[in-house]
Amino acid sequence: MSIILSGDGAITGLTSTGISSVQNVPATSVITTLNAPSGVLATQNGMTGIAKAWVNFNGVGSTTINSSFNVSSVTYNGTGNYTVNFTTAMPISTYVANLQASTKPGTANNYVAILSSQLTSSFTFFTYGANTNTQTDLPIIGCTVFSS
Amino acid sequence: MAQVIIHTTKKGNVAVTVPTGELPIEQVLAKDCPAGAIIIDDSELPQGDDSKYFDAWVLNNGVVTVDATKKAAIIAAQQAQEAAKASALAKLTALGLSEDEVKALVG
Repeated sequence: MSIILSGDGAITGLTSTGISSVQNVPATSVITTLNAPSGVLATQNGMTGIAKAWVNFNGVGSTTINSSFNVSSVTYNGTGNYTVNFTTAMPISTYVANLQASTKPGTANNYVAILSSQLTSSFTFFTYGANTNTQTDLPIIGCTVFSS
Repeated sequence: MAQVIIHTTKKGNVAVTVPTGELPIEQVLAKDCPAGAIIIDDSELPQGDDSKYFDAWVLNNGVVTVDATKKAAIIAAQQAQEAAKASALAKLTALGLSEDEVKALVG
């Protein structure tokens, strides 16, 4: 069944299956949060304009993952060389992957993170010391992915 | 004790895949890792000083060890880099640059 959004603001064709937080919504209410305990909405949000995946990890040594969404694993390929694997693949390979890499908050950083390859199932990137131009492990690495 | 997945890369070193917990590790092994990858406890990875020489890790019969030759090459490269930096700093200082100016150039 198709979901239909009418000009008067009515939504038809939407059932409560897989949606946990929509209960007794008045006719004039605006739904601001849509949570799903399972299914595609739980692993890859069906809306545009919001992150489809993220991960925060310590990239020193063999990697410690602090938090994530729609990321099944991080592979430490070598010094300053990481692959982020998605739980649910992106629909296109031309998604946007924002990267951050630093030593610790509040300090000057001369480090860069550069994408190496980008697939629907994963992406690989390097972290470099900008002055030394050598691959370097960094303790604070964050990745955020936006996609259609 | 956490479990990780290891395999040998095309370069000959060891890659370590760390699951986030969103999927069972067996599913991560099948989905994210090449054939031949194996699951081990992270305590089986090199510890202490050897943990710093990741690019010298090698996988033999399911055991990760540190290749002494590769480790020596890594140490030599690090020492050469430090020596080059020290040499550059000395030359810049000899030109009369202040400590702040040198830091602005080479960090």
